[in-house]
Amino acid sequence: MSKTSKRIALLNQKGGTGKTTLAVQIACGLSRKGSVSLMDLDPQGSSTHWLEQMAQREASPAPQLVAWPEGRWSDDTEDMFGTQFLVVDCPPAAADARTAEALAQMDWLIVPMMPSPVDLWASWRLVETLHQARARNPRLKARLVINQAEPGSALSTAMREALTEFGVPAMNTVVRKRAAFRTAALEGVSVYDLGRRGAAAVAEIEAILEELLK
Amino acid sequence: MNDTSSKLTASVRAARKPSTARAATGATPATTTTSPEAAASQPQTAAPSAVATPGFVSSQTQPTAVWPD
Repeated sequence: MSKTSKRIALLNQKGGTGKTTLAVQIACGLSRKGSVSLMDLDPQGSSTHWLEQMAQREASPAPQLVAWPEGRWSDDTEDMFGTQFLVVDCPPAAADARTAEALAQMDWLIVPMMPSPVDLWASWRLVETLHQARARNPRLKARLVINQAEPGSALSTAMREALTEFGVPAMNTVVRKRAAFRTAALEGVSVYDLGRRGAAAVAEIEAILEELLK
Repeated sequence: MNDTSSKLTASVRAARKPSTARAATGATPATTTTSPEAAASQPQTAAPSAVATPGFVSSQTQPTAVWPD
């Protein structure tokens, strides 16, 4: 029996949606609740770099980096990770073979969506991928999450209505465009390490975790 | 629903099916020459929302299946 109680993947085939930032911050948030593995499948390797920076700075509880398993994914794979939570930063390609294989193992799929028409137009194929993944893995739950929302922006406000077109539920939590997320990357830490500067961002990550873990 | 919301939602619907026919053939929509007098006598109709979304055609699609939990 696998020890991993929650497996969470973040995916969007479009770049710049904040997928990696959310993957790292969600993993760091989970690290305050239990042990976490983070698997970076994005060839850009930004999650890997971020976590390596955190390790150098000995930032407070940090996820461990794990690699894609050799051979097929099995319960033995997760025993090898040996952590309560697994977060996967998927490649920015819905058709990637490893994405499909990873989604077959996940409990949750989180899709960050920017408040931008172009991002929304590009999402139909991704929705097809989600349904294919669900057919292979019936336990898979999925949520869209509005990311980098700008208060007062008409587009940000319009997003929730537009997202209903995709038929995939949106999270109640909306993540705002915040300097704290960029500062955390710059300093090689998580928003949890930023004190008051990161408090609002931490509240948003915690709200996401509450929706995932309830 | 406010104006931005309806525009955004309409653009998402319009983007659902890319214009594969146009992409595959490189063909452009047929046009006809109409005299100003004849044009003035034709009834004015509202432009479809897809006009505002170059590269995509309007989709008369079925509602998306709701994701089950």
